[in-house]
Amino acid sequence: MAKTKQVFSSISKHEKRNFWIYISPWIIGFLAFTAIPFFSSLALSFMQWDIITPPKWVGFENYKELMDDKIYFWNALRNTIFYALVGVPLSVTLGLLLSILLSKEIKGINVFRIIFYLPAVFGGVAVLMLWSYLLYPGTGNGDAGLINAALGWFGIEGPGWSQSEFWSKPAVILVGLWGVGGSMMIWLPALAGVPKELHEAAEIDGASRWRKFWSVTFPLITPAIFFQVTMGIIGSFQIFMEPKIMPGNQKAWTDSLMVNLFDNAFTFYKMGYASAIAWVLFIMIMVLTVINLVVSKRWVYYESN
Amino acid sequence: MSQTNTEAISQVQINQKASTKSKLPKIMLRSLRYLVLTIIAAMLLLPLVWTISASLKPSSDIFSVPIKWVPSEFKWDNYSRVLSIFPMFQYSANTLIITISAIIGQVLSSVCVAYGFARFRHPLANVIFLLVLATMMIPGQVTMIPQFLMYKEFGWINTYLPLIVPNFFAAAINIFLLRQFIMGIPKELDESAKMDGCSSFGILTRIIAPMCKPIIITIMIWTFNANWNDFMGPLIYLNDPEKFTLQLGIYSLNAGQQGITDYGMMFAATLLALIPTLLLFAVGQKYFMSGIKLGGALKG
Repeated sequence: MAKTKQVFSSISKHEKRNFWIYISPWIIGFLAFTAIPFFSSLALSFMQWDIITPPKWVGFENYKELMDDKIYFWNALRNTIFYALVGVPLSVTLGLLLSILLSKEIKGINVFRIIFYLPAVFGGVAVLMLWSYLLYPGTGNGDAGLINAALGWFGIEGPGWSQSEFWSKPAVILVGLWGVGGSMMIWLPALAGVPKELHEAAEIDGASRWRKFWSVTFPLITPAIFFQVTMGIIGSFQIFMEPKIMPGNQKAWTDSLMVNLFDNAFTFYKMGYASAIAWVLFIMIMVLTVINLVVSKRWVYYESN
Repeated sequence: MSQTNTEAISQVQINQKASTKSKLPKIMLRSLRYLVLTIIAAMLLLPLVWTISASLKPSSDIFSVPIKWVPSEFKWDNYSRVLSIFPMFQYSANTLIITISAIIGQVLSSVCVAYGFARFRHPLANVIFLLVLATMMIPGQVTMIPQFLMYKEFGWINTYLPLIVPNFFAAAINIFLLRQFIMGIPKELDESAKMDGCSSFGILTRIIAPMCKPIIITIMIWTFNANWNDFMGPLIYLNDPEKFTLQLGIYSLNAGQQGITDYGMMFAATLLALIPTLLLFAVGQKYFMSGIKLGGALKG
């Protein structure tokens, strides 16, 4: 304690002033674009406001209305949970498997890495629209997009994708999987961080490939897995572009909470109601992140421990 | 030197031993690896190849089965028609203005703030840095509506300001990465520059910033991608078609033509919109792939 005090007093006024000067862009931005909007948003969620007439305080009315809204809110919530529950495990597993394939420094591996990474570089509206065409329904015999035609090569009759209530959500997830190679940015360094000696030692002990993965590699990359799962959950709760641009035949099939929020705020100008949706989303993300953190203590391995 | 040589030699010996011990399975394993990689690569590239071929076909050919990979008739005018009805260059220029401003803003502000955190001591520094990290947890949608109302108050709706200005206030992830990197730069460099009469700002611009080049390039690429591909921002803030970004333009082109969509032209537009990203990737590929060892940062 005495020591820290000494350190503090040894910091010159000049240094303290410089600290504030250099970090001032962040401080200003934090207040203007994060802190003030954050609390305003909470306050707004207790109000009714259409921008034209003055705002009115309604207490928990917006939240009550949300809970009763089985048609839009609950439906969007179900869809969003589907994206998280199905999409996140799929993309984490596939991303890791691909990265393991790409991790060995063999001849020409960089060409493969570039090809696998490429789809992740393409983002935005164009790609999503492209995918709505690739997923054009139809069978291998009639007018069909590439995906169903390709399934036809193997004698599989492709599903209706956006035309089917069941397949429209997987269609949304599928687009994200095309870009799963982007996650090698996280996986490759993590895999490279696994010491070679440990693998060699396991090999001498006669461990099989599978055994080496589970007993050596897996524990050492759990921090990266934890990171990917956390970011994946947060991202899947905010999914917007995919359902907005390539919606199912009926919007309700694919609408996420974010689409619901956007429609309420910027189409119907229900600013208070939309803010309440934002807060429900925020609280759900927070709760999931905290659960994830707590559970992670049981399975994530840090070298320092 | 000699030590590394012996190491290399012993390594070679080990390799030889291993390879003589089990030559056949190793070759098979390797070929299997290449085979799997090639199949997946082909699957990933197929959509692109299909689009390129579709963009050159007459609309009637595009969804025909079996797929005609080589168009029966090359419709190069799909491209010229897109460019005549779709203000591709205007939209690209608009997007470029926003993107370049955002990049300049992010780099300047993030380097400055990260330098502040890495090099100047303050009793509150750790608390504030934790706050920086905590903001990463706040999803954008919570602050989105009040921000919209604020920009509306400022009269910024239908201008590029809401899309540009926030970038001048340093994003948390960029601060984090740069701070880590700057802390790895020996402080002696600062000290000696100070001896030569360099101010703290001089140290930042002449020593720290140039050394941060790899991270800065990574941040530039991230910022480029985030802004070039941004859809929701322009959708919220821009109404005037003349001011549309590329993403919004393509979206409106599709939404406006439902039912009578000219597919060949749509695919041509799609590909044209991907070209800038592809060019950037080709140039900065090295940085895309290995810019950051996030894995290392995660362990800390």
